[in-house]
Amino acid sequence: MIDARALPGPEWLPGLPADFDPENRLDGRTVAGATYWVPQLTDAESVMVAEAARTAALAARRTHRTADVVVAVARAAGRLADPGDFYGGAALDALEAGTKCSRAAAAELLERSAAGWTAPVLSALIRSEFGELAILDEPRPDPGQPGRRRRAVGPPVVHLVLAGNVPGVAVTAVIRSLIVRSGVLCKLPSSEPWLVGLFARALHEDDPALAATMAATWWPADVPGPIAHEWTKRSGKVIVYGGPDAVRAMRARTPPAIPLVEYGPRVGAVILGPETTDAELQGLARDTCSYDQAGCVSPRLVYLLGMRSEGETGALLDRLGEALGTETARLAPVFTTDEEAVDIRAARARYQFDASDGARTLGPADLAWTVLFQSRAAAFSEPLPRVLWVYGIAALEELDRLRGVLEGRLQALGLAGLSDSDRRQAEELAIGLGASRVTPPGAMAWPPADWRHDGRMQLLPLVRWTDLETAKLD
Amino acid sequence: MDETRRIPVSEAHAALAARFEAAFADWDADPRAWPDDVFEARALEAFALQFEANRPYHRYCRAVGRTPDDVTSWRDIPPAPTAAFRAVELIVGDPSDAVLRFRTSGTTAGAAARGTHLVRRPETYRAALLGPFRHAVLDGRRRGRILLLHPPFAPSRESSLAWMFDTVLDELGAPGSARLDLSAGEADGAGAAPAGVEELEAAAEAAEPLAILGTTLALADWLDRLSSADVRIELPRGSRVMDTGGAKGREGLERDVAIRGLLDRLDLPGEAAVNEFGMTELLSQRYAVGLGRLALRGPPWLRTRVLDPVSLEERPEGEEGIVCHYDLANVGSVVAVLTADRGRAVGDAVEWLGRTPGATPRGCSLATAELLEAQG
Repeated sequence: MIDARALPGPEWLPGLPADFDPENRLDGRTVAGATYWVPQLTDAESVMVAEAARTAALAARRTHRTADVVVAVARAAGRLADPGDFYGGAALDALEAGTKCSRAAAAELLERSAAGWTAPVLSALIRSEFGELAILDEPRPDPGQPGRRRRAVGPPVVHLVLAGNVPGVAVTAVIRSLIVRSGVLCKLPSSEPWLVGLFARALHEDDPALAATMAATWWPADVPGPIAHEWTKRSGKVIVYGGPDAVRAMRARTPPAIPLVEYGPRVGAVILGPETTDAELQGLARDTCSYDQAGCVSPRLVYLLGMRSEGETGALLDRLGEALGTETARLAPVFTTDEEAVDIRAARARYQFDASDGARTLGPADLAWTVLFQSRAAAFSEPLPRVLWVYGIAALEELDRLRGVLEGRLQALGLAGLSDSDRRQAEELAIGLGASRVTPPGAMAWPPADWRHDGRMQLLPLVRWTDLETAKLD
Repeated sequence: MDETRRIPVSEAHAALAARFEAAFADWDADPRAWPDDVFEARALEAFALQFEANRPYHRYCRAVGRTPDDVTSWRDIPPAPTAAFRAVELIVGDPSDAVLRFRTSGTTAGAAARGTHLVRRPETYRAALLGPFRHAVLDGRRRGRILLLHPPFAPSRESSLAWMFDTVLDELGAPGSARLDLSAGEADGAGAAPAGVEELEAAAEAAEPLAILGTTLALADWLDRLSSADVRIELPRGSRVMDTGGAKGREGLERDVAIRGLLDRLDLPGEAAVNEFGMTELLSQRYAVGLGRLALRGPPWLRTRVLDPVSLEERPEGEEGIVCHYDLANVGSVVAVLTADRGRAVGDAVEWLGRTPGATPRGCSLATAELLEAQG
């Protein structure tokens, strides 16, 4: 087991004076038994760091083209996923120590996250939303409107409030702001604070001018202090990821003039028909076990559509249980907290004691995974690791009853084993509910880089546009 | 078991419960520890009955693969999580046979998710309650002067604590005992002595120890009134202040501060403080003496293990875990109850370390509360 004390500090705070000595101002946070320490900044130091990132970001606009930024950040981020690299090894150590996930799970997580950090993928993402990279560097002719040029660019500096549920997401969020040419001031996720700092250090080795455009540290969400105030106030946009409390807190704290981009909590669901194959169930198991369902894309609700008998339902549940067992053997669950263990047992108890609605529970005694079934459709679930809430439905119309619960809260919908007509109807249902993605099980947990998170573009919400007209437009 | 058949159980339960009640009474007369084999035999008998005649518990035991044939130690009896009391009615026999219905307060899970504990024989609760109370609070006396700060039991409120307090007052209260209704406020108007002062003075005058009972919240409120009127009365030695329930999330309230404040006003030492630990889901109680970290001790028919929350393996003495009780007074429902409380075994006692908070959702997976909000 890795000792978190052996890891570099999670903070990245360029811009502080050379004689800054954090030793007497460390604040600690213990997660899953590992404690990390970060220096607490005064008002003046918080401002100093923010201004340094802003100045560096504006300078980088003069010295770097967007294509250069893409290459530099891709190279630095790629090192996190290379176990032979110093930063790759440190990233594995950090995930193992800080989140208690297995080394194999950490390696898979980094590898799959890194698939979205490569230069070709990032370039393609920019092109898919802006048409070309250069529009982030200089005004470019608008092909649809002669006499007009357009320029898109992020604010000089943005404030990122990050969530640690899926560790790679924090790095992805930083990269997206950097490639639209913003400096970033990051509040690190308390449950995984290290990856962003490691990325910054890797970037610094390769391109110190770009690394100077970012700063990152952590503070307790319930005691935000002067740094949260200063960083919010000095940012052109605030981008918040996380649970409802984090989102609500940032809404309350952000001045009205500063746009707030929210990526709040959502839930993933799956509809399985009678023809669902073992491979599709294995895919659902993989999606469930990936980062232990902590993401908004993770499947948590499962609807079994049109089962012809209790026996058919039972057989499908058994196959799903087998798939989860197989996946758990391949990818051990991360640390289950005492609170989660108590809640999983409580959830199981409700189904194990109450025979109504055909209730059935599957799962090993060590709580590694759980399937809870009842025959009556509902949308109740709890965000517990590797727990699937399975409901029977005779027809898709039954999900209409749940529209009030699911509308606007459904992120991804997985479909498998359905007839063509049911599939079309389910797709329409997903669109109506505001799901951002419909996909087969097995692909839910790892959306492509250009997926419309929460139904929005990835980069467009981060920039501001300027239209330059040289003549009266037609 | 044929789940469609009504289970004939009343005689089996009554016979076993009566034996247990007699054993509780024997302990009251001669409070000695029970040998392991005595507790074991009684616990296994109770489990066999509950497996056979408590329908939801039977289903649960089957689900976790445990039957009386393979449970040979009381430690192997499958514990019912307290969440089960919120999902089903756990009783040996038919729920309509219940004489008492107690409901949890919903402090943790919310009012909509209150648990229910059905009691077939109030005599069992009474027998499990009186002896340990007498030894913990009345120094073993048959009766004592009691001042109770709690409203009477009302079937509509279904409070097991109120039933317990009523029973104690009725059966153990000596002449001069009284009940204060703090919710009524100070009816006597400005300048009048706060409620309870008369009873305090009477106990002091009679030189009879007084046991003051109430929830931690009620005692804290009463302390405020006594402090406002600057009441100070020297109670006789042997007097006790017994609180239960803790601060229950009231901001700024610390149990030690409130109880210490009362002891000071009544000129009592720290050892006069008694903390009672009870749960709606259990018919027996534990008691601790003093302030600070409390070592809760119970009667020999209530055993407690501290478990690893994931594996349910027993944790070594001194290590923190979740608390699992085995209470033979629960012969009419389920003997083994797995709580969401954190605790630590210390010798023959248990330190209660607080309720396990609900799991914090990891990251951006939608939390239950958000979905429930949407469900209106």
